[in-house]
Amino acid sequence: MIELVGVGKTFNPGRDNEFHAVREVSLSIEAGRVTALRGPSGSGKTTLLGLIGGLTRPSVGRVRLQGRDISALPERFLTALRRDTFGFVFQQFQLIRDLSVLDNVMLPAVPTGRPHADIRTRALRLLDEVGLGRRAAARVQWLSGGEAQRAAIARALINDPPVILADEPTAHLDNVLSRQILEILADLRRRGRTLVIASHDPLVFETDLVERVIDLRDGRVLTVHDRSTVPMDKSACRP
Amino acid sequence: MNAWIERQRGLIDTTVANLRRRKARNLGLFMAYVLLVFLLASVVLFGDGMRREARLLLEGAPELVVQRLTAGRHDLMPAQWLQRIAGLRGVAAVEGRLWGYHHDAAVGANLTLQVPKEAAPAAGRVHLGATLARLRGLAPGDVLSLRDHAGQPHAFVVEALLDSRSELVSADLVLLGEADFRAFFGIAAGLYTDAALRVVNPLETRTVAEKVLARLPATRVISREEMRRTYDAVFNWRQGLPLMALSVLLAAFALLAWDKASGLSAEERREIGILKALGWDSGDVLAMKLWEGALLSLLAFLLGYTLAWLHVFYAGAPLFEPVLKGWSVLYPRFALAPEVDSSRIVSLALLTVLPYVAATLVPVWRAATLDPDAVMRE
Amino acid sequence: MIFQPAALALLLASSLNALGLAAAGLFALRMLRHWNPDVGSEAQIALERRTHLVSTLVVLSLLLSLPMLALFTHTADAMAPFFAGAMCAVGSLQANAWGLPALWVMLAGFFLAAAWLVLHRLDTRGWDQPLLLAKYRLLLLLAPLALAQAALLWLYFGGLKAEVITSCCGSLFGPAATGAQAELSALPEAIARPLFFVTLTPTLAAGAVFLARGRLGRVFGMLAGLNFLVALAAIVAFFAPHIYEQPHHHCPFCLLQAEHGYAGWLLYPLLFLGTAAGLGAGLAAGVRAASLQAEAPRLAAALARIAVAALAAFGAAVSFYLWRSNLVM
Repeated sequence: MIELVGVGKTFNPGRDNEFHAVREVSLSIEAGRVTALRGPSGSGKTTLLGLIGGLTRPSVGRVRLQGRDISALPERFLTALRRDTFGFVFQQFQLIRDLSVLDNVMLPAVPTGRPHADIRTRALRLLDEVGLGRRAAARVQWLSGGEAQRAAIARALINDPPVILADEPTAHLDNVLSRQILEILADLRRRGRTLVIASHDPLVFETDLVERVIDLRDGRVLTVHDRSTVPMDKSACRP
Repeated sequence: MNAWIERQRGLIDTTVANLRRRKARNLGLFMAYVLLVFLLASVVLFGDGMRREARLLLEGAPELVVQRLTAGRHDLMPAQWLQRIAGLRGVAAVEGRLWGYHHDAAVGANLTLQVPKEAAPAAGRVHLGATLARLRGLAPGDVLSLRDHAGQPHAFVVEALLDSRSELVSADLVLLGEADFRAFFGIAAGLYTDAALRVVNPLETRTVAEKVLARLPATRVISREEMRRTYDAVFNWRQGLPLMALSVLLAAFALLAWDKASGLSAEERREIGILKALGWDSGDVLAMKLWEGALLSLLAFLLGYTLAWLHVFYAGAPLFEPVLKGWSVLYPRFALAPEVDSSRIVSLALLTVLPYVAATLVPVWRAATLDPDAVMRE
Repeated sequence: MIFQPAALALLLASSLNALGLAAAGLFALRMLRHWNPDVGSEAQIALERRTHLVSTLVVLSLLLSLPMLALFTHTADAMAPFFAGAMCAVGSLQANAWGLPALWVMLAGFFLAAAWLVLHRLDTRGWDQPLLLAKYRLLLLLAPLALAQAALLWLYFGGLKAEVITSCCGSLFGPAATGAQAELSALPEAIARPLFFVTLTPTLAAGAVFLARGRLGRVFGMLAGLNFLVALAAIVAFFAPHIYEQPHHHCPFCLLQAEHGYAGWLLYPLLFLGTAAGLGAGLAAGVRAASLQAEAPRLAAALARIAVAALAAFGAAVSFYLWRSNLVM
């Protein structure tokens, strides 16, 4: 579904603080499955996730979405495509302060021009599904960590995207809350969505949520295992 | 088309939510904006009101006024000259006027003494303008004492006060009978201050004026049109001067707006990054920010204009009287008649909103076109 | 004269407008000179970014041109008493050599800005930005026009002297005058009236055909342009006298005054809107880029709808005024 060919990303090219976050990565993400990007901090997980989701353009190489090259699309088209295809869950939740949970969830749908009432109905339904139905009107800064993460997931789903990209979804949560989140993600998988998760939390890999693991180090792909055929190797789960 | 409307509506909703939650941040600029609109609108509305008053007053003025000149200076006009003017074709009526100035040491102002066309006060009695009465503390029944041309005191009984609605004209006016007037100023019978003409056809005023000059070369002829234009020009100039002065304020305001729009806090940058990551493109963010400016401008304009309206038409424009009325001791109390002039509103809107837009456009654009990735990493 | 709030507002608006479009024009010049279709990703992003600013400037310019046109004509009308011999806007505008040219330039600027926006809207909908070059070339026309507009307005207001004796519209449009306007005024109603309807009807018909079958789009655009000129001529030639109920009063500006029921304020906006939308529709219909196969006809249809509605309303209003008029020429 999503293909990266020889992709690399360099920040501040040609300057003193030049930094190669991702180098020569070629991989493909299959539809309907859960792929995980695993590696320590600084291994390029977040950047790679951004490249997969069209959030950043590659410095070299090509990104293809369902066969179509999106690396050189004008911003307008790329953004529209991204809106319809991807839902993002960020590392630090990244909810907007002083807005209600409901407003936050509806935000990604505003530029689509869909009728306001429709968006609102859908947002409320999503909040119910993640268990935040009662907190719709609350300001986001009053949410607990687990609640915020669930709100972020609801927000990622507002445009009904087929692919969910989650960057360290369990990072600020304890075990109980982490399992809750993973259960929500598993449910999304069961309903046919594609998931790409970047994480170095061993808990993520303990469940059978993840079907494919791509190990990264220093911006390069080390290994790719397909877990549905290879038995789980706990020794590979090193933070 | 519908999608476009819904999108704008969504953007406006988000804008309103943003303005609501960042009230404190926008308050300073908003108040400066309102102040700017208030000052500009006050100047314009006041000047317009004055111009309208002048126009209304002049409507009752004679179409032509003829004054005798001797050695280039105003002189008294003999009655025979009135006959000669009356004989000209195109002149409907001629009337000799009696009026003059008297410096009243008691109030330190120049009074205008005039014999009215009709309903002149009886001998020994005068009608006073309300402002003068206030200044001198006089009411009907009191005595007004003035020194005549020979230095002799004359005592006049105040019979009545002039209608306060005409205070603008009558502030310094003292109406008295013809005999009293002539005695006070020492002007013999058969002499008049000037002549007021009414013409048969208003379109022929200029021609009639030329005829008068031809027949009586030692005169000057003042037309109502000229007076109107002069008043208009004076009020224009008097209105324009404060406006130019306020342009400094305008520039300062533009600078303030620019500064605020350029100085995005880290929080604001983060939020724009989030929006872009969520699927808003630069155009969407830019549109939202432009709506923000538009709503702010609309609110500031409405509030500022309304306050200016109240200030000028209901509070008597205390801030501007000196500049626009000219320096004088006698400040009449009067209320300007309010009138809505759509072209004025458009002019004011352009003068206040455009600098704001111009100042904030580039900073807003810069903010909207930030690269989301660069922002999210901060 | 120059101190009037309206004059100050117009001068400020046109100066800012000129500044903005001049900056956009400079950018366009640079861009066209260094244009390379295989432009790299970084340069492309920068170009996109700049284009947002440019398009915002043109939108603002277009939005501004409407109140400016209205304010300018209204102010000229209001200033007429200051000029000996002037009875309406024409007199004020003729008080020096810059008034009428300023008006024409404003009109031209309005239509060009509208055309640019049509091109821009289509260009951004095509994934390969097919109209980019056309757009920026048109900008090179908009920029000098904006500068000319500002210059003319400054010259006009700066050069106004109240004592100047100017001519009223009678001398420009009346029977004794010479020049193009006078020729138009002299056109007998027997020719002018049919000419007007004979132009308007095919224009509306072409629009209807385009909406129904998607053909004759470009023809419709051209007819809309032609119709504009004919309509203006017709207003001078026979319509104005009917409104004033005076066979020799041909002035197109006196229509805007209160004593004629502000008829001009209804008719002119309809005509301008209809013409701008019609021209835009023709422009959009003529776009052949592959990436705009769906979008261009859609935009053309939307614009054509607006154009047909506005022009039909214009025709209806004209007919109504004519029917109501007591004048028989």
